[in-house]
Amino acid sequence: MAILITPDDVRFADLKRARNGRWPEDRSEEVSTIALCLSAQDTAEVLQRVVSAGQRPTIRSGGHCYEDFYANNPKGTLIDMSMQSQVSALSNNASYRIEAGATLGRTYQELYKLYNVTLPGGTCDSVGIGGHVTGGGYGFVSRLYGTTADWLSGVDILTVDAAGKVTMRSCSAKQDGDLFRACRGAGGGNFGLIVAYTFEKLPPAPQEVMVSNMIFPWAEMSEEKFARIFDAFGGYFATRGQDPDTWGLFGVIEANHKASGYMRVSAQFCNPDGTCKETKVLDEFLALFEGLKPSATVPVGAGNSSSQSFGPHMMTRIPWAETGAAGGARRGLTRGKYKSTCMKKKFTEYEIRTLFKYLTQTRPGVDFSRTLLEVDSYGGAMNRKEMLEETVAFQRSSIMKLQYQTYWSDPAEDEGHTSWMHEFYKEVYSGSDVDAAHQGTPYPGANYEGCYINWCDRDMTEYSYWPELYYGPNYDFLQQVKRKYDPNNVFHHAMSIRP
Amino acid sequence: MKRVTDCHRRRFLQTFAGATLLPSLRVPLCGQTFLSALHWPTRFAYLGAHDGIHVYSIAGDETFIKLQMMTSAYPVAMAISNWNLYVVNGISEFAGLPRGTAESYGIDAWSGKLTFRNRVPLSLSAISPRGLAVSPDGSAIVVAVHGGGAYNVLPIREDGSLGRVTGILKETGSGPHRLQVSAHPSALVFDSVGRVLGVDQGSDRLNVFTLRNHEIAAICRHKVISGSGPMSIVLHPKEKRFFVAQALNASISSFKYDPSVGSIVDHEQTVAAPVGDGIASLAIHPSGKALYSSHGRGIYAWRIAGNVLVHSSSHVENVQPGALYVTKNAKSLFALTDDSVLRMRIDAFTEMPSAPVKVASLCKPLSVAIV
Ligand SMILES: Cc1cc2nc3c(=O)[nH]c(=O)nc-3n(C[C@H](O)[C@H](O)[C@H](O)COP(=O)(O)OP(=O)(O)OC[C@H]3O[C@@H](n4cnc5c(N)ncnc54)[C@H](O)[C@@H]3O)c2cc1C
Repeated sequence: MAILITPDDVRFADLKRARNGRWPEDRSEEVSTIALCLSAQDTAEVLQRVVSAGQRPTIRSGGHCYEDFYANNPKGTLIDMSMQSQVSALSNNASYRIEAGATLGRTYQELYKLYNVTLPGGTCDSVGIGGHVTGGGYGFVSRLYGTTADWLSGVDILTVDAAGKVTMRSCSAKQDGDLFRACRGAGGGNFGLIVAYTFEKLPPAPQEVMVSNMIFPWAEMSEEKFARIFDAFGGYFATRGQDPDTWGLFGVIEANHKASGYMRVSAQFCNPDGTCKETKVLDEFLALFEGLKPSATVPVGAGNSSSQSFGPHMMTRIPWAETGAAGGARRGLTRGKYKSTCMKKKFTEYEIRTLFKYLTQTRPGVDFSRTLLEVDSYGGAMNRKEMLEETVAFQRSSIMKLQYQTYWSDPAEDEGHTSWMHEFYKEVYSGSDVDAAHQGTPYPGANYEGCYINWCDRDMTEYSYWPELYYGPNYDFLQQVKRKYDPNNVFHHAMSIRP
Repeated sequence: MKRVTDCHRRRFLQTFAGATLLPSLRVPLCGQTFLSALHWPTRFAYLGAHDGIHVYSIAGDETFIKLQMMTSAYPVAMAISNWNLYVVNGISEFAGLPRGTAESYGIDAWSGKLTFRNRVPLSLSAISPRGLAVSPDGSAIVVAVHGGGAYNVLPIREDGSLGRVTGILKETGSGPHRLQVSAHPSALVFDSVGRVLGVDQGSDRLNVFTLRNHEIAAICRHKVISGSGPMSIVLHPKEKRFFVAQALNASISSFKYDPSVGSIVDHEQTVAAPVGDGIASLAIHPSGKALYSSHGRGIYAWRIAGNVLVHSSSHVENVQPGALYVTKNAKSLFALTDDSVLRMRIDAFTEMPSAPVKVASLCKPLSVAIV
């Protein structure tokens, strides 16, 4: 029996909130019921009741959605999957079944301890499997192993047929293959309610990784140095980073706004055999930044970086099991705005100049101390072209993935942060490399591969061609799947596939 | 002095409410509310067209004089209540999101001119709305969302403007016809108690809904002939029955209605209607003794004898109306065609329409309301 939480329940005020403190934006957008479903059977019953009553269901697994996709559901029912979080192996330690409500942290721990395998990504322990995997899912070992959706072999999903009847489907390449393919990259809340994912195989957990941090205080930063950091990073992944022996290297530029005091370039590394016996590749990467005089210590108050020296560079050896500590779900404390870009080439001079301009800009009444551009390395196994046909993730030529992020707590700063971010992003993609029809966006072409749906950004719907940014040539296919499996558009949100 | 007269006129006009919404060719719609002033010298007509809302003063039901044009996005349905004009914009996207919108305008009681009040988005995925009705107490509008398969309730604020959507009812369902892949609420009317009768062209269903605290809930569902596509509805003035025009099998049905509990008691009769091209509209004479129908080509008159519909020999050929509209004074039947508004005089004795006369030229009129 599902547990139904209504506004008269003391838990309602907390459970209705999204992780992003901006949602729901307004009381009128609040749900009227939160259904904590304890089993697949429960979930099917609740969904049927909601649909038959003419309510709109929205779904939450880990609740990490950047936008208001599940939280904005006026008087509807929020189906919460977080109580269904089992991670199990179906037979002979193969065919793993992970329920939608499991968090990444729990999944990593169990997969490692029980079966010595791992998921290719993401990086945040409290992210939910439910929304994450269907949107792609990538992280520190994705250059080595591909995206999580690439490894998927089955999805248990509840769909609502034309007559409004809820049906449980176990889809795979052989059964409802079109729906299965669509679930590999389209993102959550589109076709049905995912109860669990199945993976016939998963990659082995690395034995250990090397982690290294290089800190660049803003006090010592010049525009020229800034440009050299971005150029070195982008240049590496556009060239040497394509070689398979480097795929175990995952680099990140944490380009914090000047107000935070420093920028960081970090790397996690293991060789393709999952060990760090040899660190030549990591050394090579770190050497690129040597001339820029990074320090290994973060300024006071900015997190820890206790590094040890192995060979010429500062790095820390960490057993795999310690890279993921389960985290709790924090709701509503921080407000955030995000944008994303998939890049096929290294940064242009224009882009770097614009990044510098905005990351050093101040605006009255806006605190940028928690604002950053995160540049993640991409490519490697994620760019295997054979996955184009099997999934709907079309970004298979990128070398970097950018995530623009800004965080704040005071609602009075909403407008300041969101408009700054809007202008920042628009200007970066208004250079001469972007054709006139797509100014302001990383439209798929020679330089860019659009945006990433797991890092959703509702504002992009201002461009009529936004589906091409997120789904490239696959949008027509996704619309066909939508019309077939959700003809009444029961599952919808601001960026869901239009029927 | 003017204030007193103004109020008097308002009260007088508030006592009238009716409906008819007019679709353009190939854009099936439904009908809703109109007002009519029996003895007032000047009346005003509001015609929604592709380019906006055209305001006319009308005299003797025959002379339409253009007063004003307001830009409005695809005003597919309109209704008047308390000197406010409510409009539904049959669009599929607003501010980047998939949804239609509704608008409120103030009507100047003496000049008939409109003043824009506000525009509010419908609920997410409420695309291509098509029907609109104002509650009898004037506190809310209900919108039938054809594309998005839903109903939306929007409260009317004291100043006549519209509030944000307070009630959403998401429909499911389908039918065998290729145009019936999902639910398509297309028309609705209020009974005098404040319940909503709605027809769903996609799921072949008739529904009765209640409104409570500006939320909407279904209290009665009635399945009609599979593949028939109910598109338009009129309630008999005595409210003991209602008529539905089915677009996909070109037919008209009557149903017994129990207004005391809001239930559809029985299907009484289904008659085949001449021709059909996917559009169906109805209008009923205020006496409750005659019904006018069109299924896209020609206008046909029916006598309502007890619970039986009898096809009259009277019909108007060579017109292709999208929708029909009878004035409360029972003197005129209006039809919106692809490029004009036609008026047919209704014979006071036989209640049958005369030959049509063009009273206004307008490109693709969509909806009408008269006060
Ligand atoms: C702190 C943080 C770190 C992140 N790190 C990474 C990362 O390293 N790599 C990466 O690829 N992404 C990352 N993301 C993005 C993350 O993958 C997406 O936000 C993802 O959608 C979250 O899934 P969820 O279940 O936690 O979210 P939810 O908010 O619960 O769901 C997200 C969307 O999916 C829908 N949905 C949820 N559950 C289901 C279900 N069971 N069936 C169908 N639809 C469902 C929701 O309705 C919503 O539309 C991160 C996000 C955050 C906030």
